[in-house]
Amino acid sequence: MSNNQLLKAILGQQSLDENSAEYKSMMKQGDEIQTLLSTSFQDDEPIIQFAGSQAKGTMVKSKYDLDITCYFTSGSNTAGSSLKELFEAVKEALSVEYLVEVKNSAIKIYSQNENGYLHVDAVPGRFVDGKEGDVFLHVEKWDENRLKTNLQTHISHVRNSGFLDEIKLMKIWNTRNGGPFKTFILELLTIKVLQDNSRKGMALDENIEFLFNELAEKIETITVEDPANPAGNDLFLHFDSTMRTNAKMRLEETAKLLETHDWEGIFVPLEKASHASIKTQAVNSQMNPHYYGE
Amino acid sequence: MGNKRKRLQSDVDEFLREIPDFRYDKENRSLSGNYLVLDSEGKYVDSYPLIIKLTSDYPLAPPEVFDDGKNKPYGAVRHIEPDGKFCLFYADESWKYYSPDDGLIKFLHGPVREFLILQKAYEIEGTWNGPGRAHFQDGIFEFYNEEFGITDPRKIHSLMNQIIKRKIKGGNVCPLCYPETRTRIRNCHPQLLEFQKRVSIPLMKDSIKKLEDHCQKHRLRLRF
Repeated sequence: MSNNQLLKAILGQQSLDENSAEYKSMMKQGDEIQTLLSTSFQDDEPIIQFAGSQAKGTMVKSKYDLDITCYFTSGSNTAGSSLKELFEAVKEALSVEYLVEVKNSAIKIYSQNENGYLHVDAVPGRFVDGKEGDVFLHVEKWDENRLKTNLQTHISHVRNSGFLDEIKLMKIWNTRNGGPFKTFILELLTIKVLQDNSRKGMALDENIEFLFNELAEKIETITVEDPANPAGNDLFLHFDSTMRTNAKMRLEETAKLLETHDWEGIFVPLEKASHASIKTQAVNSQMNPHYYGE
Repeated sequence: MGNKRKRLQSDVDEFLREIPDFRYDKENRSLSGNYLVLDSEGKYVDSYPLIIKLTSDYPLAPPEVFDDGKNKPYGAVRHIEPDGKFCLFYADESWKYYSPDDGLIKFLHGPVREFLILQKAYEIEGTWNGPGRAHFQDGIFEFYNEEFGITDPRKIHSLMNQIIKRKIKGGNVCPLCYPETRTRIRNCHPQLLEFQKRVSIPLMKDSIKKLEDHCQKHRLRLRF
Protein backbone atom coordinates (compact mmCIF):
# COMPACT_ATOMS: atom_id res chain seq x y z
CA MET A 1 0.00 0.00 0.00
CA SER A 2 1.13 3.55 -0.66
CA ASN A 3 -1.37 5.33 1.59
CA ASN A 4 0.89 8.17 2.69
CA GLN A 5 2.24 8.81 -0.76
CA LEU A 6 -1.28 8.84 -2.17
CA LEU A 7 -2.46 11.33 0.46
CA LYS A 8 0.58 13.52 -0.10
CA ALA A 9 0.03 13.37 -3.86
CA ILE A 10 -3.58 14.49 -3.33
CA LEU A 11 -2.33 17.33 -1.12
CA GLY A 12 0.26 18.27 -3.72
CA GLN A 13 -2.37 18.47 -6.43
CA GLN A 14 -4.72 20.42 -4.17
CA SER A 15 -2.20 22.97 -3.01
CA LEU A 16 -2.28 26.42 -4.51
CA ASP A 17 1.21 27.11 -5.79
CA GLU A 18 2.39 30.61 -4.92
CA ASN A 19 3.85 30.94 -8.41
CA SER A 20 0.64 29.93 -10.16
CA ALA A 21 -1.38 32.47 -12.15
CA GLU A 22 -4.43 31.60 -10.02
CA TYR A 23 -2.65 32.45 -6.77
CA LYS A 24 -1.09 35.63 -8.13
CA SER A 25 -4.44 36.80 -9.47
CA MET A 26 -6.06 36.18 -6.08
CA MET A 27 -3.36 38.07 -4.21
CA LYS A 28 -3.56 40.96 -6.66
CA GLN A 29 -7.27 41.28 -5.92
CA GLY A 30 -6.54 41.07 -2.21
CA ASP A 31 -4.01 43.87 -2.55
CA GLU A 32 -6.56 46.01 -4.40
CA ILE A 33 -9.09 45.55 -1.60
CA GLN A 34 -6.45 46.39 1.01
CA THR A 35 -5.54 49.54 -0.91
CA LEU A 36 -9.20 50.56 -1.14
CA LEU A 37 -9.61 50.15 2.62
CA SER A 38 -6.44 52.00 3.56
CA THR A 39 -7.33 54.87 1.19
CA SER A 40 -10.87 55.06 2.55
CA PHE A 41 -9.68 55.22 6.16
CA GLN A 42 -6.50 57.24 5.80
CA ASP A 43 -7.14 59.23 8.97
CA ASP A 44 -7.70 56.13 11.13
CA GLU A 45 -4.75 54.12 9.78
CA PRO A 46 -6.33 50.74 10.51
CA ILE A 47 -4.16 47.61 10.55
CA ILE A 48 -5.15 45.73 7.40
CA GLN A 49 -3.81 42.24 6.80
CA PHE A 50 -4.50 38.83 5.31
CA ALA A 51 -5.97 36.26 7.65
CA GLY A 52 -7.75 32.92 7.17
CA SER A 53 -6.25 29.98 5.31
CA GLN A 54 -3.75 32.18 3.47
CA ALA A 55 -2.17 33.26 6.75
CA LYS A 56 -2.57 29.87 8.40
CA GLY A 57 -1.01 27.91 5.52
CA THR A 58 -4.09 25.71 5.03
CA MET A 59 -5.34 26.89 1.65
CA VAL A 60 -6.60 24.16 -0.69
CA LYS A 61 -7.66 24.43 -4.31
CA SER A 62 -10.99 22.63 -3.95
CA LYS A 63 -12.44 25.61 -2.11
CA TYR A 64 -10.74 28.76 -1.00
CA ASP A 65 -11.43 32.36 -0.32
CA LEU A 66 -9.43 35.25 1.02
CA ASP A 67 -9.85 36.83 4.44
CA ILE A 68 -8.78 40.39 5.14
CA THR A 69 -8.98 41.93 8.55
CA CYS A 70 -9.36 45.68 9.01
CA TYR A 71 -8.74 46.48 12.66
CA PHE A 72 -8.99 50.01 14.02
CA THR A 73 -6.96 51.17 16.98
CA SER A 74 -8.76 51.35 20.31
CA GLY A 75 -8.81 55.17 20.46
CA SER A 76 -9.83 55.80 16.86
CA ASN A 77 -13.38 57.07 16.41
CA THR A 78 -13.30 58.84 13.03
CA ALA A 79 -14.81 55.95 11.10
CA GLY A 80 -17.35 55.24 13.80
CA SER A 81 -17.63 55.19 17.57
CA SER A 82 -19.50 51.91 17.98
CA LEU A 83 -18.52 48.55 16.50
CA LYS A 84 -21.69 48.58 14.42
CA GLU A 85 -20.77 51.98 12.98
CA LEU A 86 -17.30 50.72 12.10
CA PHE A 87 -18.81 47.69 10.43
CA GLU A 88 -21.16 49.88 8.40
CA ALA A 89 -18.35 52.27 7.43
CA VAL A 90 -16.22 49.42 6.08
CA LYS A 91 -19.22 48.01 4.22
CA GLU A 92 -19.89 51.44 2.66
CA ALA A 93 -16.26 51.83 1.58
CA LEU A 94 -16.22 48.42 -0.09
CA SER A 95 -19.62 48.95 -1.78
CA VAL A 96 -18.09 51.72 -3.89
CA GLU A 97 -16.11 49.17 -5.88
CA TYR A 98 -17.64 45.77 -5.13
CA LEU A 99 -20.81 43.82 -4.70
CA VAL A 100 -21.00 43.02 -0.98
CA GLU A 101 -23.12 40.93 1.37
CA VAL A 102 -23.29 41.11 5.15
CA LYS A 103 -22.36 37.97 7.05
CA ASN A 104 -22.29 37.40 10.79
CA SER A 105 -19.10 39.28 11.56
CA ALA A 106 -17.69 39.80 8.08
CA ILE A 107 -18.52 41.53 4.85
CA LYS A 108 -18.43 39.17 1.91
CA ILE A 109 -17.01 40.73 -1.24
CA TYR A 110 -17.69 39.26 -4.66
CA SER A 111 -14.67 40.08 -6.72
CA GLN A 112 -14.47 38.89 -10.31
CA ASN A 113 -11.31 37.74 -12.05
CA GLU A 114 -10.44 35.48 -15.01
CA ASN A 115 -11.07 32.38 -12.84
CA GLY A 116 -14.60 33.48 -11.94
CA TYR A 117 -15.73 35.05 -8.69
CA LEU A 118 -13.29 35.16 -5.82
CA HIS A 119 -14.92 35.38 -2.41
CA VAL A 120 -13.17 37.72 -0.05
CA ASP A 121 -14.29 38.19 3.54
CA ALA A 122 -13.43 41.54 5.07
CA VAL A 123 -13.59 41.49 8.86
CA PRO A 124 -13.75 44.91 10.56
CA GLY A 125 -12.89 45.18 14.26
CA ARG A 126 -11.36 47.34 16.94
CA PHE A 127 -8.39 46.52 19.13
CA VAL A 128 -9.26 46.21 22.80
CA ASP A 129 -6.10 48.09 23.70
CA GLY A 130 -3.81 50.08 21.38
CA LYS A 131 -3.13 48.58 17.98
CA GLU A 132 -2.34 44.93 18.62
CA GLY A 133 -3.58 41.89 20.52
CA ASP A 134 -7.23 41.16 21.27
CA VAL A 135 -9.97 42.72 19.16
CA PHE A 136 -13.71 43.21 19.42
CA LEU A 137 -15.74 42.25 16.36
CA HIS A 138 -19.25 43.34 15.59
CA VAL A 139 -21.60 40.37 15.38
CA GLU A 140 -24.69 40.91 13.31
CA LYS A 141 -26.92 38.12 14.55
CA TRP A 142 -26.00 37.62 18.18
CA ASP A 143 -27.77 39.08 21.16
CA GLU A 144 -24.53 40.27 22.64
CA ASN A 145 -23.53 41.99 19.37
CA ARG A 146 -19.80 41.75 19.97
CA LEU A 147 -17.15 39.08 20.09
CA LYS A 148 -13.69 39.25 21.60
CA THR A 149 -11.03 37.41 19.68
CA ASN A 150 -7.38 37.48 18.61
CA LEU A 151 -6.26 36.93 15.04
CA GLN A 152 -2.62 36.17 15.84
CA THR A 153 -3.64 33.55 18.40
CA HIS A 154 -5.84 31.85 15.80
CA ILE A 155 -3.12 31.91 13.17
CA SER A 156 -0.44 30.60 15.55
CA HIS A 157 -2.77 27.93 16.94
CA VAL A 158 -3.27 26.45 13.48
CA ARG A 159 0.08 27.23 11.83
CA ASN A 160 2.12 25.82 14.71
CA SER A 161 -0.14 22.86 15.42
CA GLY A 162 2.02 20.41 13.44
CA PHE A 163 -1.10 19.08 11.72
CA LEU A 164 -1.37 21.28 8.63
CA ASP A 165 -1.55 18.34 6.22
CA GLU A 166 -4.32 16.73 8.26
CA ILE A 167 -6.23 20.03 8.36
CA LYS A 168 -5.93 20.51 4.60
CA LEU A 169 -7.16 16.97 3.92
CA MET A 170 -10.11 17.48 6.27
CA LYS A 171 -10.98 20.68 4.44
CA ILE A 172 -10.97 18.80 1.13
CA TRP A 173 -13.22 16.13 2.69
CA ASN A 174 -15.52 18.81 4.11
CA THR A 175 -15.97 20.45 0.70
CA ARG A 176 -16.62 17.10 -0.95
CA ASN A 177 -19.27 16.32 1.66
CA GLY A 178 -21.19 19.56 1.32
CA GLY A 179 -19.51 21.35 4.22
CA PRO A 180 -20.97 19.77 7.35
CA PHE A 181 -18.38 21.70 9.39
CA LYS A 182 -17.56 25.40 9.40
CA THR A 183 -13.89 25.61 8.45
CA PHE A 184 -12.80 27.22 11.73
CA ILE A 185 -14.56 24.53 13.79
CA LEU A 186 -13.06 21.77 11.64
CA GLU A 187 -9.56 23.18 12.15
CA LEU A 188 -10.05 23.36 15.91
CA LEU A 189 -11.51 19.85 16.11
CA THR A 190 -8.69 18.37 14.02
CA ILE A 191 -6.04 19.94 16.24
CA LYS A 192 -7.86 19.05 19.45
CA VAL A 193 -8.38 15.37 18.61
CA LEU A 194 -4.82 14.86 17.36
CA GLN A 195 -3.16 16.88 20.12
CA ASP A 196 -5.16 15.29 22.91
CA ASN A 197 -4.04 11.89 21.67
CA SER A 198 -0.36 12.80 21.12
CA ARG A 199 -0.43 12.06 17.40
CA LYS A 200 2.31 14.48 16.39
CA GLY A 201 4.93 12.89 14.10
CA MET A 202 2.73 9.92 13.26
CA ALA A 203 2.04 8.84 9.67
CA LEU A 204 -0.48 10.97 7.84
CA ASP A 205 -2.75 8.06 6.83
CA GLU A 206 -2.84 6.74 10.39
CA ASN A 207 -3.70 10.18 11.75
CA ILE A 208 -6.48 10.68 9.21
CA GLU A 209 -7.95 7.27 9.97
CA PHE A 210 -7.74 7.96 13.71
CA LEU A 211 -9.34 11.36 13.25
CA PHE A 212 -12.32 10.07 11.28
CA ASN A 213 -12.93 7.27 13.77
CA GLU A 214 -12.66 9.56 16.80
CA LEU A 215 -14.90 12.22 15.29
CA ALA A 216 -17.52 9.69 14.19
CA GLU A 217 -17.63 8.30 17.71
CA LYS A 218 -17.55 11.54 19.70
CA ILE A 219 -18.97 14.19 17.42
CA GLU A 220 -22.20 14.56 19.37
CA THR A 221 -20.53 15.36 22.66
CA ILE A 222 -17.10 16.76 21.84
CA THR A 223 -16.47 20.32 23.03
CA VAL A 224 -14.48 22.92 21.18
CA GLU A 225 -12.99 26.12 22.55
CA ASP A 226 -11.88 29.29 20.81
CA PRO A 227 -8.12 29.43 21.52
CA ALA A 228 -8.28 33.24 21.59
CA ASN A 229 -10.98 33.29 24.25
CA PRO A 230 -11.46 29.79 25.70
CA ALA A 231 -13.93 30.74 28.39
CA GLY A 232 -15.64 33.64 26.67
CA ASN A 233 -16.80 32.68 23.19
CA ASP A 234 -19.53 30.16 22.84
CA LEU A 235 -18.78 28.26 19.67
CA PHE A 236 -21.93 26.23 20.06
CA LEU A 237 -23.67 28.58 17.62
CA HIS A 238 -21.15 27.53 14.99
CA PHE A 239 -21.59 23.88 15.80
CA ASP A 240 -25.06 23.10 17.09
CA SER A 241 -26.79 19.75 17.42
CA THR A 242 -28.25 19.82 13.88
CA MET A 243 -24.77 20.38 12.47
CA ARG A 244 -23.38 17.60 14.64
CA THR A 245 -26.03 15.13 13.47
CA ASN A 246 -25.34 15.98 9.84
CA ALA A 247 -21.58 15.69 10.39
CA LYS A 248 -22.01 12.32 12.13
CA MET A 249 -23.88 10.97 9.13
CA ARG A 250 -21.11 12.08 6.77
CA LEU A 251 -18.40 10.72 9.05
CA GLU A 252 -20.11 7.33 9.23
CA GLU A 253 -20.31 7.18 5.44
CA THR A 254 -16.60 7.92 5.31
CA ALA A 255 -15.87 5.18 7.83
CA LYS A 256 -17.09 2.62 5.28
CA LEU A 257 -14.63 3.92 2.67
CA LEU A 258 -11.87 3.82 5.29
CA GLU A 259 -12.20 0.05 5.56
CA THR A 260 -10.82 -0.30 2.03
CA HIS A 261 -8.55 2.75 2.26
CA ASP A 262 -10.39 4.28 -0.65
CA TRP A 263 -8.60 7.61 -0.21
CA GLU A 264 -9.56 8.91 -3.63
CA GLY A 265 -13.20 8.17 -2.77
CA ILE A 266 -12.85 9.95 0.56
CA PHE A 267 -11.00 13.01 -0.69
CA VAL A 268 -10.61 13.60 -4.39
CA PRO A 269 -9.50 11.48 -7.34
CA LEU A 270 -5.84 11.84 -8.16
CA GLU A 271 -5.20 13.56 -11.46
CA LYS A 272 -3.43 11.18 -13.84
CA ALA A 273 -0.68 12.08 -16.32
CA SER A 274 -1.75 11.47 -19.91
CA HIS A 275 0.09 8.94 -22.07
CA ALA A 276 1.10 11.74 -24.44
CA SER A 277 2.61 13.70 -21.56
CA ILE A 278 4.51 10.65 -20.24
CA LYS A 279 5.93 9.97 -23.71
CA THR A 280 7.05 13.59 -24.08
CA GLN A 281 8.68 13.54 -20.65
CA ALA A 282 10.53 10.33 -21.55
CA VAL A 283 11.87 11.79 -24.78
CA ASN A 284 13.04 14.94 -22.99
CA SER A 285 14.45 13.10 -19.98
CA GLN A 286 17.91 14.10 -18.77
CA MET A 287 18.63 10.53 -17.67
CA ASN A 288 21.11 8.36 -19.54
CA PRO A 289 20.66 4.75 -18.40
CA HIS A 290 23.41 2.28 -19.22
CA TYR A 291 22.78 -1.45 -19.44
CA TYR A 292 25.69 -3.77 -18.73
CA GLY A 293 23.89 -6.99 -17.94
CA GLU A 294 25.84 -10.07 -16.99
CA MET B 1 32.99 3.92 10.24
CA GLY B 2 30.85 5.33 13.01
CA ASN B 3 30.03 8.40 10.94
CA LYS B 4 29.08 6.24 7.98
CA ARG B 5 26.71 4.21 10.14
CA LYS B 6 25.19 7.35 11.66
CA ARG B 7 24.72 8.84 8.21
CA LEU B 8 23.03 5.65 6.98
CA GLN B 9 20.67 5.59 9.96
CA SER B 10 19.86 9.27 9.60
CA ASP B 11 19.11 8.87 5.88
CA VAL B 12 16.93 5.82 6.49
CA ASP B 13 15.05 7.64 9.29
CA GLU B 14 14.46 10.62 7.03
CA PHE B 15 13.26 8.32 4.26
CA LEU B 16 10.78 6.53 6.53
CA ARG B 17 9.48 9.80 7.94
CA GLU B 18 8.77 11.00 4.43
CA ILE B 19 7.52 7.67 3.09
CA PRO B 20 6.31 5.50 5.98
CA ASP B 21 4.82 3.12 3.41
CA PHE B 22 8.30 1.55 2.99
CA ARG B 23 9.91 -0.97 5.35
CA TYR B 24 13.60 -1.16 6.29
CA ASP B 25 15.39 -4.50 6.56
CA LYS B 26 18.40 -3.72 8.73
CA GLU B 27 20.14 -7.03 8.11
CA ASN B 28 20.10 -6.64 4.33
CA ARG B 29 20.39 -2.84 4.45
CA SER B 30 17.43 -2.51 2.14
CA LEU B 31 14.24 -0.50 1.93
CA SER B 32 11.25 -2.02 0.18
CA GLY B 33 7.80 -0.82 -0.70
CA ASN B 34 5.57 0.60 -3.38
CA TYR B 35 6.73 3.89 -4.81
CA LEU B 36 4.04 6.13 -6.18
CA VAL B 37 5.48 7.95 -9.17
CA LEU B 38 4.31 11.47 -9.97
CA ASP B 39 5.44 13.47 -12.94
CA SER B 40 7.00 16.93 -12.77
CA GLU B 41 3.53 18.50 -12.48
CA GLY B 42 2.54 16.22 -9.60
CA LYS B 43 0.27 14.06 -11.77
CA TYR B 44 0.06 10.33 -11.12
CA VAL B 45 2.11 8.12 -13.45
CA ASP B 46 2.09 4.67 -11.79
CA SER B 47 3.09 2.76 -8.69
CA TYR B 48 6.19 0.51 -8.65
CA PRO B 49 7.32 -2.06 -6.08
CA LEU B 50 10.99 -1.33 -5.34
CA ILE B 51 13.87 -2.63 -3.29
CA ILE B 52 16.54 -0.03 -2.52
CA LYS B 53 19.80 -1.62 -1.37
CA LEU B 54 22.34 0.45 0.49
CA THR B 55 25.73 -0.99 -0.43
CA SER B 56 28.68 -0.94 1.96
CA ASP B 57 29.99 2.03 -0.03
CA TYR B 58 26.90 4.14 0.65
CA PRO B 59 26.79 7.17 0.61
CA LEU B 60 29.95 7.40 -1.55
CA ALA B 61 28.26 5.15 -4.09
CA PRO B 62 24.55 5.52 -4.82
CA PRO B 63 22.09 2.88 -3.60
CA GLU B 64 21.22 0.03 -5.95
CA VAL B 65 17.57 -0.06 -6.95
CA PHE B 66 15.77 -3.25 -7.93
CA ASP B 67 12.39 -3.88 -9.42
CA ASP B 68 10.30 -6.12 -7.20
CA GLY B 69 8.51 -7.95 -9.98
CA LYS B 70 6.45 -5.42 -11.87
CA ASN B 71 8.75 -4.67 -14.81
CA LYS B 72 9.26 -8.24 -16.00
CA PRO B 73 10.49 -9.30 -18.46
CA TYR B 74 13.73 -7.48 -17.74
CA GLY B 75 16.36 -6.89 -20.36
CA ALA B 76 18.70 -4.56 -22.15
CA VAL B 77 15.92 -2.85 -24.05
CA ARG B 78 14.49 -1.34 -20.87
CA HIS B 79 17.80 -1.03 -19.08
CA ILE B 80 17.02 -3.50 -16.31
CA GLU B 81 19.52 -6.25 -15.48
CA PRO B 82 18.41 -9.90 -15.26
CA ASP B 83 18.21 -9.70 -11.42
CA GLY B 84 15.89 -6.68 -11.67
CA LYS B 85 18.57 -4.04 -10.98
CA PHE B 86 17.92 -0.69 -12.60
CA CYS B 87 20.75 0.56 -14.84
CA LEU B 88 20.11 4.15 -13.83
CA PHE B 89 23.30 5.59 -15.31
CA TYR B 90 26.81 4.69 -16.33
CA ALA B 91 28.97 4.39 -13.23
CA ASP B 92 31.56 7.02 -14.16
CA GLU B 93 28.94 9.67 -14.80
CA SER B 94 26.90 8.94 -11.68
CA TRP B 95 27.97 12.35 -10.32
CA LYS B 96 25.65 13.96 -12.86
CA TYR B 97 22.68 12.36 -11.10
CA TYR B 98 23.82 11.60 -7.57
CA SER B 99 25.89 13.28 -4.91
CA PRO B 100 26.88 11.65 -1.60
CA ASP B 101 25.29 14.68 0.10
CA ASP B 102 21.89 14.05 -1.49
CA GLY B 103 20.32 11.53 0.88
CA LEU B 104 17.86 8.83 -0.09
CA ILE B 105 14.74 10.94 -0.62
CA LYS B 106 16.40 13.21 -3.17
CA PHE B 107 17.79 10.15 -4.94
CA LEU B 108 14.38 8.49 -5.06
CA HIS B 109 12.46 11.56 -6.22
CA GLY B 110 15.24 12.44 -8.67
CA PRO B 111 16.92 9.81 -10.88
CA VAL B 112 14.82 6.84 -9.72
CA ARG B 113 11.55 8.67 -10.41
CA GLU B 114 12.80 9.80 -13.83
CA PHE B 115 13.91 6.27 -14.66
CA LEU B 116 10.45 4.95 -13.77
CA ILE B 117 8.82 7.52 -16.06
CA LEU B 118 11.02 6.07 -18.83
CA GLN B 119 9.75 2.61 -17.88
CA LYS B 120 6.17 3.80 -18.06
CA ALA B 121 6.76 5.32 -21.49
CA TYR B 122 8.21 1.98 -22.59
CA GLU B 123 5.13 0.16 -21.30
CA ILE B 124 2.88 2.53 -23.24
CA GLU B 125 4.82 2.51 -26.50
CA GLY B 126 6.36 -0.95 -26.48
CA THR B 127 9.65 0.55 -27.62
CA TRP B 128 12.37 2.58 -25.91
CA ASN B 129 12.24 6.15 -27.14
CA GLY B 130 13.95 7.71 -24.17
CA PRO B 131 17.65 8.49 -23.89
CA GLY B 132 20.21 5.85 -23.04
CA ARG B 133 23.85 4.96 -23.45
CA ALA B 134 24.90 2.18 -25.81
CA HIS B 135 24.78 -1.17 -24.02
CA PHE B 136 27.70 -2.99 -22.45
CA GLN B 137 31.27 -1.69 -23.04
CA ASP B 138 30.10 0.51 -25.93
CA GLY B 139 28.50 2.78 -23.35
CA ILE B 140 31.87 3.18 -21.63
CA PHE B 141 33.58 4.19 -24.87
CA GLU B 142 30.66 6.47 -25.74
CA PHE B 143 30.98 8.30 -22.44
CA TYR B 144 34.74 8.79 -22.58
CA ASN B 145 34.53 9.89 -26.19
CA GLU B 146 31.82 12.44 -25.39
CA GLU B 147 33.50 13.69 -22.26
CA PHE B 148 37.21 13.67 -23.24
CA GLY B 149 37.34 12.72 -26.90
CA ILE B 150 39.09 9.37 -26.32
CA THR B 151 38.12 5.88 -27.46
CA ASP B 152 41.44 4.07 -27.01
CA PRO B 153 40.83 1.53 -24.20
CA ARG B 154 44.46 1.91 -23.08
CA LYS B 155 43.98 5.63 -22.46
CA ILE B 156 40.65 5.11 -20.73
CA HIS B 157 42.19 2.40 -18.55
CA SER B 158 45.17 4.56 -17.70
CA LEU B 159 42.92 7.50 -16.80
CA MET B 160 40.70 5.33 -14.58
CA ASN B 161 43.66 3.86 -12.75
CA GLN B 162 45.20 7.25 -12.08
CA ILE B 163 41.90 8.53 -10.76
CA ILE B 164 41.34 5.71 -8.28
CA LYS B 165 44.92 6.23 -7.07
CA ARG B 166 44.21 9.99 -6.86
CA LYS B 167 47.14 10.68 -9.20
CA ILE B 168 45.43 13.30 -11.34
CA LYS B 169 47.46 16.40 -10.49
CA GLY B 170 48.07 19.49 -12.59
CA GLY B 171 51.81 18.85 -12.94
CA ASN B 172 51.49 15.19 -13.99
CA VAL B 173 51.64 13.90 -17.56
CA CYS B 174 48.18 13.81 -19.06
CA PRO B 175 46.91 10.24 -19.56
CA LEU B 176 44.72 11.44 -22.43
CA CYS B 177 47.66 12.87 -24.39
CA TYR B 178 50.23 10.18 -23.57
CA PRO B 179 52.09 8.64 -25.43
CA GLU B 180 51.77 11.12 -28.31
CA THR B 181 52.92 13.98 -26.10
CA ARG B 182 53.97 14.37 -22.48
CA THR B 183 51.90 17.48 -21.83
CA ARG B 184 51.07 18.38 -18.24
CA ILE B 185 47.42 17.98 -17.27
CA ARG B 186 47.06 21.63 -16.31
CA ASN B 187 48.08 22.66 -19.82
CA CYS B 188 45.80 20.38 -21.85
CA HIS B 189 42.95 18.73 -19.86
CA PRO B 190 42.52 20.64 -16.57
CA GLN B 191 38.90 19.38 -16.43
CA LEU B 192 40.33 16.03 -15.30
CA LEU B 193 41.04 17.57 -11.89
CA GLU B 194 37.32 18.27 -11.43
CA PHE B 195 36.38 14.86 -12.84
CA GLN B 196 38.59 13.16 -10.24
CA LYS B 197 36.84 15.06 -7.47
CA ARG B 198 33.36 14.15 -8.63
CA VAL B 199 33.65 10.53 -9.71
CA SER B 200 32.65 7.72 -7.38
CA ILE B 201 35.79 5.69 -6.68
CA PRO B 202 33.95 2.46 -5.72
CA LEU B 203 31.94 2.63 -8.95
CA MET B 204 35.02 3.40 -11.04
CA LYS B 205 36.76 0.31 -9.65
CA ASP B 206 33.84 -1.70 -10.98
CA SER B 207 34.10 0.15 -14.26
CA ILE B 208 37.80 -0.76 -14.56
CA LYS B 209 36.95 -4.42 -14.04
CA LYS B 210 34.36 -4.31 -16.80
CA LEU B 211 36.81 -2.69 -19.18
CA GLU B 212 39.54 -5.22 -18.31
CA ASP B 213 37.14 -8.14 -18.82
CA HIS B 214 36.12 -6.76 -22.19
CA CYS B 215 39.72 -6.25 -23.31
CA GLN B 216 40.78 -9.69 -22.12
CA LYS B 217 37.88 -11.29 -23.97
CA HIS B 218 38.79 -9.51 -27.18
CA ARG B 219 42.56 -9.81 -26.65
CA LEU B 220 43.06 -6.07 -26.55
CA ARG B 221 46.22 -4.75 -24.89
CA LEU B 222 45.79 -2.35 -22.02
CA ARG B 223 49.44 -1.22 -21.87
CA PHE B 224 51.26 0.99 -24.31
